[in-house]
Amino acid sequence: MSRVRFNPWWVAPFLVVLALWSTISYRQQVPTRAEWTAAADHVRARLKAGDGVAWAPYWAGEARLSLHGLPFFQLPDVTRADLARYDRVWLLSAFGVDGEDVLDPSGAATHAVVSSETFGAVTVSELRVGGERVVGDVYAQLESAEISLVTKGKSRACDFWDGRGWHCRLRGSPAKTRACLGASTASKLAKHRRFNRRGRPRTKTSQMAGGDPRCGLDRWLNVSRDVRVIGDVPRRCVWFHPHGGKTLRMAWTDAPRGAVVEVGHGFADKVISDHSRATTRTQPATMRLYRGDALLGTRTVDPVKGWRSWRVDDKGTGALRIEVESQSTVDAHLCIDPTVRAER
Amino acid sequence: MAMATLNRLRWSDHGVGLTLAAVYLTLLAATSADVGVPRDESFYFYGAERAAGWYAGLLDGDVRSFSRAEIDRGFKYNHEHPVFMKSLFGLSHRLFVDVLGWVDDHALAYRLPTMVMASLALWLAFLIGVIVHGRLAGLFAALALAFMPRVFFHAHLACFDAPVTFMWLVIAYTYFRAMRSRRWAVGAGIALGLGFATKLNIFFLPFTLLGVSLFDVWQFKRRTGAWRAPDGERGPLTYHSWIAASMIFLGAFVFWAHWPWLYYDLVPRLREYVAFHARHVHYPVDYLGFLYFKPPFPVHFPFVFTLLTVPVGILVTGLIGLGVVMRRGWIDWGDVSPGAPDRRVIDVFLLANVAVPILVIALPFTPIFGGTKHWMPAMPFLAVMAGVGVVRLGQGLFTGSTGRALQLRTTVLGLLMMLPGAWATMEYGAHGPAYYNGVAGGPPGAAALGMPRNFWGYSTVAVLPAVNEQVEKRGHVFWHKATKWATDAYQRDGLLRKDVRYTGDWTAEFSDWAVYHDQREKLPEELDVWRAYGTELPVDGYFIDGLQIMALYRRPAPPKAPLIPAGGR
Repeated sequence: MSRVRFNPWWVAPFLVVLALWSTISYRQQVPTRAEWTAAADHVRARLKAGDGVAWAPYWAGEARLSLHGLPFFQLPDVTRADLARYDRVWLLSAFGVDGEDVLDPSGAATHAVVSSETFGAVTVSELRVGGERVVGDVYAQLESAEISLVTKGKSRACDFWDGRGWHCRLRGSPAKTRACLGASTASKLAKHRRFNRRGRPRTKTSQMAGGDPRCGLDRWLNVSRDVRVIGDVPRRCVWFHPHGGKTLRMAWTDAPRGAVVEVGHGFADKVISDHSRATTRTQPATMRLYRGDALLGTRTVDPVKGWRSWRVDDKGTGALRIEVESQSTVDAHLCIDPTVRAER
Repeated sequence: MAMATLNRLRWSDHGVGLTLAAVYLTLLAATSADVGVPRDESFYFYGAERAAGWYAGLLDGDVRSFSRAEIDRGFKYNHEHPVFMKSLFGLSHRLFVDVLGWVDDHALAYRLPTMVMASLALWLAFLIGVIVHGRLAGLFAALALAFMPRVFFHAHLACFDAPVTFMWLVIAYTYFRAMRSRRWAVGAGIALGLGFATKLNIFFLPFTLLGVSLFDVWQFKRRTGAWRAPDGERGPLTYHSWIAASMIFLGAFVFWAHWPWLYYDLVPRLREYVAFHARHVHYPVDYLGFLYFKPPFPVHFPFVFTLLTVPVGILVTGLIGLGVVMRRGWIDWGDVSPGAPDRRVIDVFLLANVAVPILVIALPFTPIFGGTKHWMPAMPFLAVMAGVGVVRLGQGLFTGSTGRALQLRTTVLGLLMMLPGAWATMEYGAHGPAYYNGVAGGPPGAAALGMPRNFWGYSTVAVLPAVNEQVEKRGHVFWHKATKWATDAYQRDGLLRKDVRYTGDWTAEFSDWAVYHDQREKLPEELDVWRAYGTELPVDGYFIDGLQIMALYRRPAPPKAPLIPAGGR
């Protein structure tokens, strides 16, 4: 009996069929905009205080169109999710990702998928968040923080609020600055066109006319609610740009007591690695954390890429105070995310 | 002495090749409005107008055109690139829009020279395929080149990448013919001059061809024992000497003559031109999840990119063709008898033209911004390999068939192998840089691998319908990577409402609407929009397979004076 011999040339068409199958397979996984919307509406109908909403994978950007009005947060990496700000998280996911991917394999965080529903190619997972809980959040309550700049023992209040953060220096009066901030986009654009990109006036006239489109506020040296690319992904954090040779201080008198204070921190990638200079110009910064007058800990923030977490046991009473110092102001693009955490 | 084992071209071959080119040109022209204007193209539109203005002066018989002032007026702008293509873009626009009035799409009028060249590249790929492996190979070479989505994308733009791909092919083809023809040596010299006049990438081609020439001469010596042919005959040394002389003298003259900018201060201006490219800044490169800002760049960059961005059917048949050519070259290598086939030189020629554009980019210090377009000159040769591969695959699979039956079966097989590429070209071609093949898992798989999907503002066109519909009258839009000239071009062609205003670069905070081109190194600029508008969510956008290519943001509320918190002032 003659044996049928395999003809190796069939491998070539087989590879094309395989690629075709891969193409059909990924195309089937692509959610429509209507499916994302249906999933978001499902969440919207069940939303309550303490809920958070995220989508995954992070690159499935079309999901964002349907999240308006929801308390969403950025979740670039589902396997390293910090969900401590929420009691319950709704994860809208596609492309083979679902709520199970958020669960810590070690079980340390003790999250649990409570329910799961599909809307076409989108899965909505309801997660009950376990582990510790954020009880004090500087990012959310920045308005109640007191900021000051300390030079050789003399403290100066940074007490002008621009709607996003605190400023130490004003060029005009607070009332004029506030009025300027409320001016229309068109008027600011007109001022901008009289200025060059460095914020210097093109002409003396525009300078004299007080034509600064940024209303005389320093775009770098402030303490503001922000979002920066740190460790390749956007991080919501408090912009805390050190002033060379000075101490930037944040005192939060309303800070609740918890078991631990966690300060997420990092320098913006743009000044650390995402540039074409030979080396970074950013200098190390020193962070000190106090509860009342008691020093809880000191941390040196090295100019290296990435988002890091500094955890200190929360001991003592009084205001929570964070101080940051650096030898240089140049490229000191520090952003921090201090939270007070307790057991759930 | 002829290339004994190669096929001769018939007039009908030119007919088939040119028909394929005409169909492709029609397709390119029909899809022009779907392809946006990248930053560079908008600069070239402007440069093209300046150059065309200078030529218009010549037509008026104005001798002042050759004055330094007039030449500077025509050619100073964007003089880091020669003006062959910009001149063609500008003249095409003047001819088809202003003079003949045949075209009412201004961008298309600028783009036509590129489209014609990209189409003629199909014709040349077909001819080379026919010569080296027969008509079926030629047919599939042309189809393979037509069905590469990224090549299709670049084939639209009034930029230099598709033209330089064509010019590389023209130079290679004329050289290939000149290897045994004195007449063609003249063509090779002119072609090289025009190649340099197109883009500097051509710099690497003469060295590639020099290697092929040395190999040809050496092979002759191996076979005959002499460097030169006997008296009364011409050998490779003679032909290659003519080619070299033509390329050096004629090529240099054509390059100089085409560029009036060099008519004054030749040496300093030439030095400036070379220095600009020799010390070109390194733009960020997003590759496998890592952003490279400076060298050394990964050596595997062009190989992995090629593996993930050429449709699998073309890739597989191309690799088979590559194997066929390499194997044939290896077998021929051992045969040094005087009657041995001299096609091994052609095999070396084909292999060198596939490999060199890719290898140049693989060098760790070569600037690699721009991705696949920088080694696009290799693609027509990869397509020829695919043509060879289809024929060999047919022979391997249909062992019982011969003659017409084999040809028919191979044709059907080849079409089936090319079909996914054809679909991908239609589906993704207008946004070519977002295309990834089945090996990557398509654009979503590529996103998971950390590969880029957008490039320098080309895809703006996809959000124009949303802008037209949603932006209020005289609304201020921040256009991110799209230049003012690009938005002007859209407005001129009726793709964008004329009242919509351009706020300028770095002006997110002074706008009410923002367009964002998704490009990883530009992420901080998307965050500038979030910060300025107080929202992280776009209201619309353009998405491919669920991935953001473009986002459209709207300021949720007009600016208002901030409230004063307790303790503040």
